[in-house]
Amino acid sequence: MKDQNHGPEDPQGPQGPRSDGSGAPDGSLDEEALRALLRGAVSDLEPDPEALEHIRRAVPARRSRRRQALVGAAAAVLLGGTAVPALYHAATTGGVADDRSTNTASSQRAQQSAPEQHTGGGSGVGGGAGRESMSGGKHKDSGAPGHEKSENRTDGPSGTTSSPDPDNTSTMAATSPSCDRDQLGQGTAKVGQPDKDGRIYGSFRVVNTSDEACTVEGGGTVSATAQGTTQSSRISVVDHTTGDAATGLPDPATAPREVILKPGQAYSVQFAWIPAAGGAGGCSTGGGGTPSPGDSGGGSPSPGTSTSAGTSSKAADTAATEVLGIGGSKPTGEDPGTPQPTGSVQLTHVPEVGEPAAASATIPGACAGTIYRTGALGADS
Amino acid sequence: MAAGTTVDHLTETYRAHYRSLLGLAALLLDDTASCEDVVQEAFIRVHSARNRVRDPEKTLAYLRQTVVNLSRSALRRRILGLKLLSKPMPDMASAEEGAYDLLERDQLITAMRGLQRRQREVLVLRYFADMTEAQVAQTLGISLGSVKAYGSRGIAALRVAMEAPA
Repeated sequence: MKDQNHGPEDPQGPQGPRSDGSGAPDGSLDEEALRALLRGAVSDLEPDPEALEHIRRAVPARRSRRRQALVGAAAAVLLGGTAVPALYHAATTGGVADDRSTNTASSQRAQQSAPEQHTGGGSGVGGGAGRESMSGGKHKDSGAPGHEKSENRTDGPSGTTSSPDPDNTSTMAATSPSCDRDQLGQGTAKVGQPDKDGRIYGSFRVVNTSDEACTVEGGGTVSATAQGTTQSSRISVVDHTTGDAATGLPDPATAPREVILKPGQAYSVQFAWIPAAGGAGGCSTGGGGTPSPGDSGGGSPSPGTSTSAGTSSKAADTAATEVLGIGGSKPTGEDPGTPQPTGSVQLTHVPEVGEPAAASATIPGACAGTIYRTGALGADS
Repeated sequence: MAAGTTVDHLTETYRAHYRSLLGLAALLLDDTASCEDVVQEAFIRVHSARNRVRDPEKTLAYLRQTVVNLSRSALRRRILGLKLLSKPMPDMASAEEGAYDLLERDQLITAMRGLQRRQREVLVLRYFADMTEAQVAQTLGISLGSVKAYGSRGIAALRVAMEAPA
């Protein structure tokens, strides 16, 4: 090793630029010497000539990706389940209630793997589909090409500038997560039976599928999409707080700040659907309808609601409803083209680290109400 | 805000800060191959959130904060990986070029990497990024007293490492 603290620097040495003031005359390392040493050590570093161009391409892509995560998840579900009428619905109502104000999505999304995702940014959805939410890619091809195309221009402003910044209130203070998005998978969702007041509890579960332990710091997003006759304006997603209506959720005071996942372990995000008024999912109108042919619920009627006969196939499932995302699996139990005669709410969980969505769940017979959600919790099994 | 405005601002902040942030990342990370990725990711994140780039002063603070966070995350992942799986170091061949190559052989860098992470962070933010102790405390989320303690211990440890015959 070279001695930077004594005597003149080796003139042809690799650390040429650090020769100024790199050491105090007496060899001790004082603060000023350290300052000079630190600067000198990295003064030769040259930015990648492509860096600015890369960032310039990636920024609008990242912005639109955020919106796509919401719009995409919504549209995938809608196309899978309710096709055009619901799509119109989503398009006109905004479709998504989100709890973004309470998380640090931007500082957490698309971790270290993000640069790879963005290097191909110019190719937009087509090239990125493999890394993006399967739900997004799927419906983009089949659904509303014009709309999505404009969203996905990575070199242009169209469709990206009018959106409110979803991260207005987030801070950079949160520490970065350790779990990369591609370490998380096997996302599942459970939706329980409604109680006598129509409250439904459920949870998402996401597994560390990598062979390394990693840390999940933050609960990601839970976004709600209105389906069928449900109006998104009547659905909201909020963080569960002590003393709120979702008494069945764990006390947030005891929630961990981070969850460390060994390989194979999972974290969970629990949620509660609290209908706005008088049970029946807040629905004011009953609905008939025939059970969906693709019904995976075994024909069990949705209990406790006036719309049970025609509610979605998920009505009485207590097991995982569907798995979207990482493995590219299609929504199961959905029967494309079968209109849902009544309203329901689709919940989609995106891990803190970013898209794609890890899992989705359907709350049947939900018309108006509030979804309370927890942060990331340890999941025992 | 028009996108064009943002892009111009992006170029501006890139010119003003990219190089110094690259240095920050290089000093914090023990994996020089990731420096560019970390800094670019920081730019992308900060500039994707438009409200973060309105105040130039804060833009730099956000960028630095993000670089620190991302560096720490990468560090931690590597530590975990090494401890749990005794994995070999990531392929360093990609880093073996030019300035990064030199960095790998730099005595100061080597000594810095021997420090505790917190000590290294404090020294880098304090003396490379020229933050005040209060700013360092805020950035790292630790107390002012801790900043002072990590700083003085870090310098002492560095002094020992640097003066030891290499």
